[in-house]
Amino acid sequence: MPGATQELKLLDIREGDDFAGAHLQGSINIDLDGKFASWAGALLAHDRPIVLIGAPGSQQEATMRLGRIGYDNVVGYLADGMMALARSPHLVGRVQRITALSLHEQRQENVPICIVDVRSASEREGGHIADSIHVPLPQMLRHLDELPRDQKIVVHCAGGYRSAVAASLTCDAKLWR
Amino acid sequence: MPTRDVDHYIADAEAQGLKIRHVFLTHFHADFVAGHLELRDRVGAEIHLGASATTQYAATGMHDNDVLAFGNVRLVTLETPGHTPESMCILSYDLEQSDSTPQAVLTGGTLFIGDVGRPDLGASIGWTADDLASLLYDSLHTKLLPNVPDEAPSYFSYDAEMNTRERPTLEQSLGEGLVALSLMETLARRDAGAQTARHT
Repeated sequence: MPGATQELKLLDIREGDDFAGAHLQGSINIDLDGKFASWAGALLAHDRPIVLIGAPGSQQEATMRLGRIGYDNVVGYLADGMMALARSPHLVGRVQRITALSLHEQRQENVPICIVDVRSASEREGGHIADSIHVPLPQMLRHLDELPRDQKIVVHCAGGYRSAVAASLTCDAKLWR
Repeated sequence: MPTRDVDHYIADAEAQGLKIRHVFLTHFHADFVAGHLELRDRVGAEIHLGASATTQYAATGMHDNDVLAFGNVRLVTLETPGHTPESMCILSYDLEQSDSTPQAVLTGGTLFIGDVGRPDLGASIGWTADDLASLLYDSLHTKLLPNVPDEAPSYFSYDAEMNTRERPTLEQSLGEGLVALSLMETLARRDAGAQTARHT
């Protein structure tokens, strides 16, 4: 766990859709417009420096909300946000978003896909995608190394917030594998 | 309900020539850490909680109309379940002004400016939002409204302004410490972290 959390320093606080479209490689995404502090508290180390990436003005709110849960480790933010990457396309990462129908079709065609359900145990008990594996988001950092490397990984939750976080974690993991 | 960094409470008390003997936790929090144990350990203060609270540390359970008096001050607790089951409010009397009308009320998580505490956070301990909302309604109408005069200020627990005041380090980081980093500086931070991860 310590090894896994130490590199989680670049925190992208934009919406999951924006992160999926383009983000700085190696950043993780926790949308400020949601249970931001709860997930930051669950996934980030409180004693490692954090650099924020987001829209102008949102950094102050993020710093305040992190401070309220005891995270005083925000050291700064990427100047100009994603505009800073305009001339550095090689640093931009993307996350593909996939519809349920498209996922179904790809499975029918036997495309090797690992479906990761990041919801809670109680949500999963209410029904889940056949052959999906269960990695609740709070435990995801501990299990990143167990995810297959020779398949597409598709993460899902109930509404899209947590899967955006989870997708960013799996992208980030690729950097240091 | 103290913040976890308790130095400023101790400094404030010393500046006034006072000693902290009692810490009131108006309610439990799921989402941040309170400093009641730190204050107990630092200054030997006694911890007070609503009577229905169950704790793994020694605490005095406060019922309706329990009194703590010192000098010209009288504190009277009201059990106000709703935001959480063990929530309480504290009526504060200045006996030089009046011994029958409170001068202020500390409302914890029960009552805010223009809003009431959220009753929908108790699922993990088996409380539905409907049950807590019903309790909250009764607490507001049978405990707070009859006992607190309109002119008495209410002091509640969470507030951005209060949070800033209580956390000078946070205020400082917002004002000065939060710096714009260039892409190069940002990448350096990322890559330094990645190296650390590889080597562990």
